[in-house]
Amino acid sequence: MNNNMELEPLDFNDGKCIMRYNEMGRGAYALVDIPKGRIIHRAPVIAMSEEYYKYIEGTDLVNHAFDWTPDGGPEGFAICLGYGTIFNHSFKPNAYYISDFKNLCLVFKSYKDIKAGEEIYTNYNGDSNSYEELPYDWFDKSMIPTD
Amino acid sequence: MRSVSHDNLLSVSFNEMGRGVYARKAISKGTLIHRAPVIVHTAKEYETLKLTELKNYVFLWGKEGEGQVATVLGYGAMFNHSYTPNAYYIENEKQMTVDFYAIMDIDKGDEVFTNYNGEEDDRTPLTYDWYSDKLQPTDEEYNEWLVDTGKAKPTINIKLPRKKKKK
Repeated sequence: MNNNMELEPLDFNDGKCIMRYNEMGRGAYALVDIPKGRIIHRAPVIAMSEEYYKYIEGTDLVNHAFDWTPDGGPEGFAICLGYGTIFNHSFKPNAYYISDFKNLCLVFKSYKDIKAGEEIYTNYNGDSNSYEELPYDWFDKSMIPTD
Repeated sequence: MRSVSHDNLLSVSFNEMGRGVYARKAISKGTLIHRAPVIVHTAKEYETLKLTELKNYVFLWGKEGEGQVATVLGYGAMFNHSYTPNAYYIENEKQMTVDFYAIMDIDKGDEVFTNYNGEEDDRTPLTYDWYSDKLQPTDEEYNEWLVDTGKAKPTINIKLPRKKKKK
């Protein structure tokens, strides 16, 4: 996503957030102050069992796939629709996500107070405090913050 | 109905079809109801993607014959199909979105449908495994829809009063 800077932004979350194009591709920004603990977005997903993962490998969808394994259920993954995959990654995120298996969606919530204009980030490791390396080709070890 | 997600205008809820998109307020004809960002896949990528559940969700994209498809984000992949739809979609290649418009007035609470053939009045049978001829509207339903969308004028069916015969 290189020449996408001219693309028009799209708002979501009842106009409280906006999807804008930036040097990372797409990014999500707050348009209003969002206090800690609020639901930012509920993104519907398409859930599939693990055996199908090989069919999406080699496509851009690997960047839109989340682990989707309900407690005691079979291992799987989910393609996140809605605006769930426009949140960029940070090891110091201001938002996090949880899987709502019953409603087939990923729920994005604020992890800290987010000010209007700030970009909204999640930690792609799932755990907001995890410094584990990421399996994406854009990952670079220097992204991991020092103590 | 269990709502999964919503925005100003639309909500996604579970129904007997799985999930569907519903109007949260009255929408007037011609309104741009949704813009969904896309992820474009080449014909080669589609070869394997179509072996998954995604075959029911992807949209055709780009020039005909090139075989590109797109995964549509936002709520774009959540609209159900109807041959008498109340919305249609167009590919907005410049903005990399699929844009959805109301083709008739939609009441609050109504489900929003599109015709998966692309053209809203195209009655070609769909190639999905869930397709059944029962989805085809009767001629009466179809004609009513043509009137609702303004594609046809209502047939005037008023009996003119007969002149009384003079005694």
